[in-house]
Amino acid sequence: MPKLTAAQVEQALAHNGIKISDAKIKKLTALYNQYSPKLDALHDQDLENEEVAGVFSPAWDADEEA
Amino acid sequence: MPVKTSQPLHFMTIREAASRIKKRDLSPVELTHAFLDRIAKVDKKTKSYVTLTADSALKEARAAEAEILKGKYRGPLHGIPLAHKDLYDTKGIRTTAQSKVHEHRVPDEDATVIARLKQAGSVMMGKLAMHEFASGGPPTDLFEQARNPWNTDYITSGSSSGSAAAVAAGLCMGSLGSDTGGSIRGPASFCGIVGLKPTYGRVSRYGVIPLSWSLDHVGPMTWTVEDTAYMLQAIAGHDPNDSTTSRAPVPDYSRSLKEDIKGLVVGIPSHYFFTSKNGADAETIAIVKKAVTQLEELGAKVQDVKIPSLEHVQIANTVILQTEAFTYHLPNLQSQPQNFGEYLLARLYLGGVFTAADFVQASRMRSRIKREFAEALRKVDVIVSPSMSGAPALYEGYDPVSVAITPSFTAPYNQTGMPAISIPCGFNKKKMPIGLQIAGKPFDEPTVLRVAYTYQQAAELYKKRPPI
Repeated sequence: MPKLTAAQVEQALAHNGIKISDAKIKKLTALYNQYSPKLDALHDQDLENEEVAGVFSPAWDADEEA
Repeated sequence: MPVKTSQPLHFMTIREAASRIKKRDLSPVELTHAFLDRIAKVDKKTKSYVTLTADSALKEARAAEAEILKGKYRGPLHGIPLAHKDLYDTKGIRTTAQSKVHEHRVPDEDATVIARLKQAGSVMMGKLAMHEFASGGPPTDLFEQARNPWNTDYITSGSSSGSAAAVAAGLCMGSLGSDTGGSIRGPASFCGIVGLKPTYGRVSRYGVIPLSWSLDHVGPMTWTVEDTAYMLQAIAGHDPNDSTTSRAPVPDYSRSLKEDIKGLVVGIPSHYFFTSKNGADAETIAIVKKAVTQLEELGAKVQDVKIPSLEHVQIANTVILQTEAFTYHLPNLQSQPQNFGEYLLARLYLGGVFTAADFVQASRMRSRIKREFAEALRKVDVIVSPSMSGAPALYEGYDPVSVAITPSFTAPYNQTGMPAISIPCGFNKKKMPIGLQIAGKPFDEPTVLRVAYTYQQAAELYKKRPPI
């Protein structure tokens, strides 16, 4: 994936109702792009049938108490 | 109660103090006064307390003494002075998470673990310094940052910075910290104390301000492994207020501590933890390897194991942590961003830039990492490594950003939920502590504690306290 531009970072935050200064956008973009190679490597992994890990359990309280 | 003071009271372990309190040889009131005196003398250098509750601590100590004199002894924590990270809700006592957002926040209910420690009869001395919302780094605006008692020019690591400093300096006998990527084990390593991140779901997080719901853990920080076992005993177990807590039975954590480790198999993922490629410095590697040799001399067998996906653990943890943290903080980020520290803001905003695809892929990688550890733990009983890739850095000029992007030695066990402990295993040439990390199977805290206890008794590093 290509590195993000400052405009893209600004858009991502705006999508979440956040507006910050141009100077902060610039710093944040640089910070994000430091992670970019590792994100690329993460997305390159063929995780086959791995499920999304998490803590959700389908058991209901009633089942647990039974 | 008569008092014998053959050693400084503030440097006693919980076990030593409990033995004397039970025999009515030591008064909880005298013990609490000793800690208050020590705090007055030393904490201007260590800066570990953000709220000192001296009056209520003495009241609790007097109540503990009265109960014990009536024959109602509650157990090893009865009358023991503890203090806790300012992340834990404490009824009627300011709880800020070291943030201006919560500068005046006073909870009306104790966190479950605080209530359980009260039930065990402990005395609460106050609330301890931390990194902002368990994620920021020094400096922060609300309170001063804690300093390392071994040398106050050095950092404590975080985010349970005040907890580690206070335990090491003899300012409390134990503390609750929290750990989302290493925030108990990192400070434990850098301050030369014991810090345990239990299995995910072993200890309730109700009433603990979240950072990242699926990675947050609550755990004890103490001077010795035995003391950690006492604290874990009091706080572990299902909580109906926390749906992530397990109903798995809580064993007696002290019972198997003193069994030997002959024949126990220790796994070493040297490809990740013992290489300079991942930032491990040569001196730390050498010190930890000596500790591993000592485990072999104590009867353990050592073998190399491979966890291939460990190279992705840092990015997976970062994506999951920052997106969950961003979600939690979003309302305040929208309404009062000026009340967040600059470093924390940058990390939180990062969570708003990662995509849903990043989060899902990170979560699937998490499944892969868990699977690989589970396979390794079919062949070995515990996995051992340095707790941190290096020794404490100088406070002046400390760059939390560079730390955030270096491979983490602690995050794998937040990803997997496995129990992991850091115990002291030596000092570097600058006389700063180095930590040994021992991780085990889910809910196998007894084995993790047994290995840690056995090593700690043999190495005897607990006999050396910081010169503060």
